[in-house]
Amino acid sequence: MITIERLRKAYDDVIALRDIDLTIRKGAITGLLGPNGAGKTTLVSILTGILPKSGGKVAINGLDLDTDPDAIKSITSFVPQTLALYPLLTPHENLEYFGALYGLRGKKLRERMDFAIEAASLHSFLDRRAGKCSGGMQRRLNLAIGLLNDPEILYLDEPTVGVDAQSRQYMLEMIQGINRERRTTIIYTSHYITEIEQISDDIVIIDNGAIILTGNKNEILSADATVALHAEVSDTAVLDQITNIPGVTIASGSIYIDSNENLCNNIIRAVSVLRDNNIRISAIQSSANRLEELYLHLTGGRRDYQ
Amino acid sequence: MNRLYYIIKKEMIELTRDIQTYLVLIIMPSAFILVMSLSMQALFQANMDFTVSTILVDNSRSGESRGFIKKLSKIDNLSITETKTALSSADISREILSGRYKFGLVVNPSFSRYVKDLRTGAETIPVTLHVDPAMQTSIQIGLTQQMEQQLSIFRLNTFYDNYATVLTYAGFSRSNIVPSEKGAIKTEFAYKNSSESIKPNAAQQSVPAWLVFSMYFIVIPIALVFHTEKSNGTYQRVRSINLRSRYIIAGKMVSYYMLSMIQVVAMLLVGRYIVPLLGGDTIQFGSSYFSLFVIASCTSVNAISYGLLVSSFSKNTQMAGAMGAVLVIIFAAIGGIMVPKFIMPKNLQLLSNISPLSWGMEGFLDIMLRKGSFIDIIPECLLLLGAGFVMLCITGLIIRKKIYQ
Repeated sequence: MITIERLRKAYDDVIALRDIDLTIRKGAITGLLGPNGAGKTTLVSILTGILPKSGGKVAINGLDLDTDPDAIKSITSFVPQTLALYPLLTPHENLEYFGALYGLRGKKLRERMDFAIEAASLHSFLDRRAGKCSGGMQRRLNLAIGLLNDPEILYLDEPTVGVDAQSRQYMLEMIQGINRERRTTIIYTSHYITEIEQISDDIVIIDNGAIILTGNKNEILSADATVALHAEVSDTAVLDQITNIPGVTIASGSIYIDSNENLCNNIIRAVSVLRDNNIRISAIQSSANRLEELYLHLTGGRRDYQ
Repeated sequence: MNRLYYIIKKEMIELTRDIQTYLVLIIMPSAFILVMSLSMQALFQANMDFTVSTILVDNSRSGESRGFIKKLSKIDNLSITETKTALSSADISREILSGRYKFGLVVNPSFSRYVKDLRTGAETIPVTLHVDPAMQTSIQIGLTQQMEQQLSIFRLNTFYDNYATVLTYAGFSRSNIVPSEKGAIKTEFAYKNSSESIKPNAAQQSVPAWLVFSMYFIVIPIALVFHTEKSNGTYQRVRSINLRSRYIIAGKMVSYYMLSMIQVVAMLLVGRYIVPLLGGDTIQFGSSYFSLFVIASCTSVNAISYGLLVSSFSKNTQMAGAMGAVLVIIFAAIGGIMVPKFIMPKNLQLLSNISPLSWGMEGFLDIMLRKGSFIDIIPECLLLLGAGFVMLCITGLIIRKKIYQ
């Protein structure tokens, strides 16, 4: 678990993080969303020990970032957005090099390399220069390097940038697999909102150096959701019956049932009224929140994402 | 036209806001032109305006020797310091190798007899000239010839003075005196170890200089890798690993040191085996392989430190390459790589002492030309290592401040 209290970062006169309070669940995939310059990279850079913080407290799996930075680094791993590998080295040599930097050697190094190769399916490209591999393959290698130290916490900074749809899907499944099998806590930043929606358990939206939304993805998306029944209702008596059901409203010929109320029961009651009056339901739509709309709403509609 | 205007405007804004561009395009070339103009000035003047510091010992102590020394003082390019102390050949060599003098002129006891008696040949060695082996051969020969000419004229004048009556009667005037004899001044090179002899030649004199010059161009590959790592995020990744920046610097030092040593060996082998194949002189490796290894290592450490400093300071590969290369050329020009130091103006000669390329070159010359030993290169090694250490410390600070934070 990562506990952040009043975290603050200032570059000269620019404040990048404004007294952030945040808790990241252990073993969950947390999607970190925010426009460019919102503070995502700064936050991740502080958590990974790349950047010093200006104030506040950070505890990672019970270790204090101020007093145990080395211990924290040994249980975390960071996969940068850029391809942080050596193009003139083969994937095998890259893994070996970074594995050695992690302090691995001998049998342990080989085991961890085998795991990373297996996880990222790098078998066929191990002896080709990394620079000659496809973009998708390089991305997988970039991610595989981050798995070498078997991290308890894995920071992924836009790990799928520039890859095709198939490779992206493969990588997302790979990341979910790692999370599922090894219970690795994953902090995932991306501009692809659909990716965050697909793989995250929890969502954090950051803007202008402050957390503006945080919570479980399912709860966030289901909040204020409605079910719409499309039917032609002209009889005012029927309309009255329907609007008398708690949490049900009628607008533009559609019947909206609020999910915050007793959703199933209300649906049954509304459908019963319609059926009793021989009114045909032409369509039923579930209008749960879409993350994209929520994100745009919260960040003021800025379209700094893809 | 509108597009072109905005393209030009954007380029100009970028250029005016980039301090490193000023450095590379204006300040460094200005410094280079200044240094080169000053240092080459002497070579292009009809009357070469340089002086070769010369220590003179008069072991003849005769009227003839006094007269000759007076004649020598009229040679513009000689700055003669006469010592009253009796100095042996070894003492004079030591004075030369200390760097204070380039020439050591000894007027031998046989001088008086040689001047007065025209039947006496040059085999009596009336004058001995000790020379720094690192001195350019053309300049050395030119000055030696001037001295020989002065000696010859002085000798004939003396003869004329002694027999003026007879010679005038015979219709011979002083204006008929033509200097002719060569070889009256015996040239000896000043070596630190007299048991061996290395004959100075163009290759022997120039290879150490260009070797040192080329060693500093290691700045280019260092900068290329450094900035690739910086831009592709590997430094970030390494920083997130539990690894100190000193390991990265040390790793680079070792690998580039090996590369630099390969470069040294390759260049020495070219000088030794390839240059003669093309009709040039071969080079000798000098008095001590160990000392050669030590000075090569120290120069290499200094060059790599310089490469790392320039790389960490500059913004990108292109800037590092340009800045690194131009600075090397400036330091080479100041340091006597391109033009011998002693023909530079005095102020520039003082400045040459701060050029690491000068330290490296003098170290190589000590071993390859002056037959020096390990002890002789200790000062140069200490300077190279000391400056290298300072540059590494600054690099460490820049990396910590600029790249990691």
